Amino acid sequence: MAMRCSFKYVAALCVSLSLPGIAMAEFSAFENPNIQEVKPWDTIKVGRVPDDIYLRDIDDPDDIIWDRVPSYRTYLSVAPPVHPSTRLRFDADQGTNLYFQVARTSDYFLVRLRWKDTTKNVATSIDGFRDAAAIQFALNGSTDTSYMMGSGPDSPVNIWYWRSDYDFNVEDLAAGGYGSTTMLPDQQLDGHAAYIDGRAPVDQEWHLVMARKIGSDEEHQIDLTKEEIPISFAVWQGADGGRDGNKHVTQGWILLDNSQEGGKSFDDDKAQASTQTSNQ
Amino acid sequence: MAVKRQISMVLDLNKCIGCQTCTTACKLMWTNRSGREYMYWNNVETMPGEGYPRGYQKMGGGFDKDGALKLSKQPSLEDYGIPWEYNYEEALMTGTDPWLRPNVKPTWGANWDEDQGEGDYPNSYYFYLPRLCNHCANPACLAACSRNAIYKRQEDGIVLVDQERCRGYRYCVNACPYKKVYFNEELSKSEKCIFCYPRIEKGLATACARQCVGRIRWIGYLDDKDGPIHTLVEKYKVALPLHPEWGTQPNVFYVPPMSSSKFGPNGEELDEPRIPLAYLESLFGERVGEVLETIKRERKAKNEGRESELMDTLIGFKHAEMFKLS
Repeated sequence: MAMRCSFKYVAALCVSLSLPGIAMAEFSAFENPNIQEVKPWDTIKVGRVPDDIYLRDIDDPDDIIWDRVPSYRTYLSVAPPVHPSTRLRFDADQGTNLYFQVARTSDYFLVRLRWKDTTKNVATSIDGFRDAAAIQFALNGSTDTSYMMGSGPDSPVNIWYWRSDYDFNVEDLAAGGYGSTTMLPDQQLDGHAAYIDGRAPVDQEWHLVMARKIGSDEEHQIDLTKEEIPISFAVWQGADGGRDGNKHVTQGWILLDNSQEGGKSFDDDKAQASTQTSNQ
Repeated sequence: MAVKRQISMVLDLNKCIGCQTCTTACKLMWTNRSGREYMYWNNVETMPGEGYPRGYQKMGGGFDKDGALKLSKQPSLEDYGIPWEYNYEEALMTGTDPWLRPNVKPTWGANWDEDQGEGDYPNSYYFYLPRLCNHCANPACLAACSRNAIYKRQEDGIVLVDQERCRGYRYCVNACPYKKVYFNEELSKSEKCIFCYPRIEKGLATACARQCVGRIRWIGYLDDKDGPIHTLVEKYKVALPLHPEWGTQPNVFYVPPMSSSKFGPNGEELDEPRIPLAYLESLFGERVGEVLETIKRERKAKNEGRESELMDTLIGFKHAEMFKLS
């Protein structure tokens, strides 16, 4: 059995190396054609990691398995101010690109994010703010829920929030509208990030994986067995005073096709996205 | 913001000797640990001076004339002063260091410019200004919090930061023009003076007021006609808020300082106070002159052996009369 697993792993490695540039050159001056651009309201397929592939850490941000999962690019724009204080922002910066991958094993649901950041801010101090990122899910599975923090207590969102300043650095949150973000009593997330300190500023980026066990009956935890899950993203740049509404966000929901199609694994999907995705 | 009752404090700047006993009382009770080392919920600064944090009066915050929040500079740790500790163990116990010295090189701190003031001898002047959270009727910190983590208690108007709701965004630090909300790095949350509410709830005065050796502080409810606050703020109108133009409607009031006469070139006394009236007006508004006249008049009355309810109140004979908490 062990032999078979390791053989499969090596095979997966070989295949990944034969896929030109997925992990190597996303951030070069040329846009990597293997990364598809996704816009709000597009649908993408959740990748499947076969059960016989061994993941040493479920949330390793640079596990080689991520070379085998389709990668997407989406544009995050400056969040609109919804409170007088967010108008006190010091510098309403331009938008930024976020690269993301979504996959599941039998037990876990994994989201990997990557974004460029030439300033590594890992402290929350009097003089500075931390880098952070978040994933948001519409709890009722409906795109009627506002992508801006949910639509009140009846249509809330589940938020997976990563902060760069703590060792135990992922927070499982829920919100039902602006200002209502609340820590959930049951923290179910795993998460781990790595700052890639490249030779040139253009290479400097965060890699982050957040993961949760698929089965959860707790209130305000996203049901990861649903066939369609609306998801959106946010990134905070500590160097720009990023916190709260001072962030870059997806302006809409991206739809995850989480259907299993008779146990079809991601080996069958290869690096293919759903046909509904616009390839640019 | 309407509350059922508003607790208030009056401080008589004529009586403050700048001893920092209030500062120490507050620090020992609330801010000498757990990320609060740099904070002074209560501080005493020399005026004219930079204040604490350094230059806070010029940072901005509060509200504009239309009632909109104003942008402020975010104070840096250097503006507050980087807190330092001494090598007591090495210098005094083990003898491994011949010098008792701080562990950081101090370059600034609360009260750094103590007693500097302004003016040239013999007309130099300064006075002390103790400051704490003003527990404003229109708190800019509360208005700025995007999470509704700051609230004003209905029963006494004390403004508090809900530590469960706070996520450390620091809009409150930015918005408070008095810079009396502080960010705790260890806890990643903002904190401020709580008007010693656990003491208030037991009928006790705040630590800063109870420990004040100059007996300069009165505490009571604004609407209590038998209390000292009503006497000083409403009846005799001798207590004024600091920087009313910032629009937050403070509930901490100051009796502005009298000063001796200025000297002329030949050492003669001039009919002009040492502390310029215009300077006091820049702090406490245009009623300062009127207030100083009232105090002068009442002082004279007391001096001549006549009755003066105002002076009897300001002398503060008994703590029980200075703190009326029911």
